[in-house]
Amino acid sequence: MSVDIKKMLPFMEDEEIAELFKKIIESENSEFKGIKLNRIAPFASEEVVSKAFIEAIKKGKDYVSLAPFVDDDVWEEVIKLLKEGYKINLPPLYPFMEDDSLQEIYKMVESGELKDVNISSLYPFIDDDYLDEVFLKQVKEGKDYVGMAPFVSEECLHKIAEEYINGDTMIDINCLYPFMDSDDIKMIFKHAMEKDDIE
Amino acid sequence: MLDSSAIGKKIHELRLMNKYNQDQIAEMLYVTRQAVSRWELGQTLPSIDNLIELSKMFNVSFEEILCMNDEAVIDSHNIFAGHNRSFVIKSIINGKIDVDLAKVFYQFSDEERMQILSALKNKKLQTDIKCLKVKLTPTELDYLLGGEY
Repeated sequence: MSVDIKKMLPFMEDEEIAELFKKIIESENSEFKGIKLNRIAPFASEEVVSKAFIEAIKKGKDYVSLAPFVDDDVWEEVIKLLKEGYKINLPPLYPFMEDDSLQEIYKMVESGELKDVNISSLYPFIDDDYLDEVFLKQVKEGKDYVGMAPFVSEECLHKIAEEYINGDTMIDINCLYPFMDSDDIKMIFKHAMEKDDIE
Repeated sequence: MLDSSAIGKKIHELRLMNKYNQDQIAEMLYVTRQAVSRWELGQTLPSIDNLIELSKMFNVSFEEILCMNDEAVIDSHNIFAGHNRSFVIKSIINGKIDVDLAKVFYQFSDEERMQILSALKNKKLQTDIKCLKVKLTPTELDYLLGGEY
């Protein structure tokens, strides 16, 4: 008589599930008796899933489906793996990452340490205050800031609008006005029209 | 945030009303005809200087060209119809467009779904989670509600 493991999953101990994870990760077709990683993850502890998650990354198996079930501490380990040169498909993991880890990835991409990662895919998930801070820094240093504009706060863009009016920044306002608040857009256009009249 | 698609339609409409063709507009503003075409298609927006010139040419305010006093009309069957996608997403998150999220959730791309869920999770946006829950994938549910679902 064969035992249907799928039906047994809710009743399994952590050690048994960990063993199952190991068998699936080590198998060639990423399954054991018809069970895939994502099927068992909801029944395991965060600790067990986290270990399996790291192992799956190292072996190039389906780690993405485990992401919702991992421990928050696992992201530090992921950063370490990235630094060691492991190829990780990051965008599907962003929603589950801690703010610090996302900021660390941003810094790695920005510095060129991490290549082949589209930096704009990070913007929707980065903490608002941090993104505002980075945006203002990029503007100040004359680095590329346009891609961030749809994701920074209206308060941050207001600050830029005011600096522009006061002549405190050399920013290309044509790239930014589409993302601004109505009042800021009106202020910028009125300023441009006054300048136009004087000229 | 401005709605480039609506602005494009407005420029197109004002140009026809004033009996100009795209070449004439391009010549008067020292831009290419392709640039004018891209404005009308909502792919790009004119520069501030060009918008000021357009408002003089069409004898309307820049607010009118930029559709700043128009309320965005959203068709719940296709919320992106006639609008720029980023505009719709940002307006929903900022509470400037009121939509029944559970009803329209299938229209978002995977990335847009996560943007909306991230806004809900961070309490920037409110909705009836009970109705939305049934429209979410297990991964999205876990992201939004953790183990609570």
